[in-house]
Amino acid sequence: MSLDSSIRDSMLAAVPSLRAFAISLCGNVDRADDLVQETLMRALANIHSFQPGTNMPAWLFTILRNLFRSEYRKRRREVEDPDGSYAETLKTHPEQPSHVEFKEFSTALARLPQDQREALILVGASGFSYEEAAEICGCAIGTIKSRVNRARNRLVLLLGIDDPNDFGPDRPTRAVLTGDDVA
Amino acid sequence: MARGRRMKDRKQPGVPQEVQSVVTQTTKKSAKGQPALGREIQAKIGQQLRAYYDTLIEPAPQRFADLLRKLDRPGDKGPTE
Repeated sequence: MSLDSSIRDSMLAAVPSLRAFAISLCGNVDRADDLVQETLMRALANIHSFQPGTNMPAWLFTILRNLFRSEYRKRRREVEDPDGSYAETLKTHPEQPSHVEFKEFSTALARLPQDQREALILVGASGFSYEEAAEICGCAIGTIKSRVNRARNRLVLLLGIDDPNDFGPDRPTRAVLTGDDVA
Repeated sequence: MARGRRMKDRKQPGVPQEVQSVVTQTTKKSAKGQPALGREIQAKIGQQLRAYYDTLIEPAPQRFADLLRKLDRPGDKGPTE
C-alpha cells in the first residue's frame, strides 16, 4: 500500500506542532521524539481509518495524546516535574527578551494538572478550536472550556500576576501559594 | 483565621482549594462566583503561552520524513507488530 503523497505531506506538516505538543506534555525532547515516531507509525498502520479531507493534525494529536496517556499511567513518577528541571530542556533564543520570565512561565506550566495543561496548550497554542480540543481529549466542549479556565486561573496564581501592567510576581504571596518558600 | 496558617504551612507544590479565596481577592468575580480573569491578564497569559510553544517548534527532524518514506515504500510492509 502506497501512501498518497498529499497524506504524507499533511502528516509531515503537522509534525512540528505535534512535536511541540509532545514536549510540553512529557517535558523531555527525546521522549517526545519517540512519542512522535510512534504516533506516525500508528497513524500509518491505521491510515485506512483516516478520511481524506478531514483534520489530519487533530487525528495525529489524538493518537499522540492516547499514547502518552497510556505510557503516563505506567511511568507517572517520571512525568511529574515540579522542580521545573523541565524548563532546562527548553532552548531559549538568545534574543529572548526575558529568559527569567520565560523560565518562570514554563515552570508554572509544568505544575498544572495534566488535564488542564493539555487543554490550555491545545486551545491557546496549538491552534485548535474548543470543539477540536474536546475531540482530541475525548470529552465535552464544556469540560475543555472549564479546564482552560482553571489552567489560566492557576497560572495567574503561580506566576503571581495581579495586575496586567505588573508581571513581576508578588514573591511572598507566590511563595505561600506555590510552596516555593520551603525550597 | 486558621485557613491562612494552613496555607503558609503547606509544603507541597500544587494549588490547594482554599487558594480560591485568594484568587477572588485579586480578580473580579463572575456571577457564578468563579474568578473571571481580566482580558488583559488573559492576553498576557496567551502571549506567554505562544512564546513558550514557539520555542518548541522546529522544522520536523529529518528522521520523521525518512520514517514515513521507509514505512510507506510499496512492497515494504513497514511495522509488522
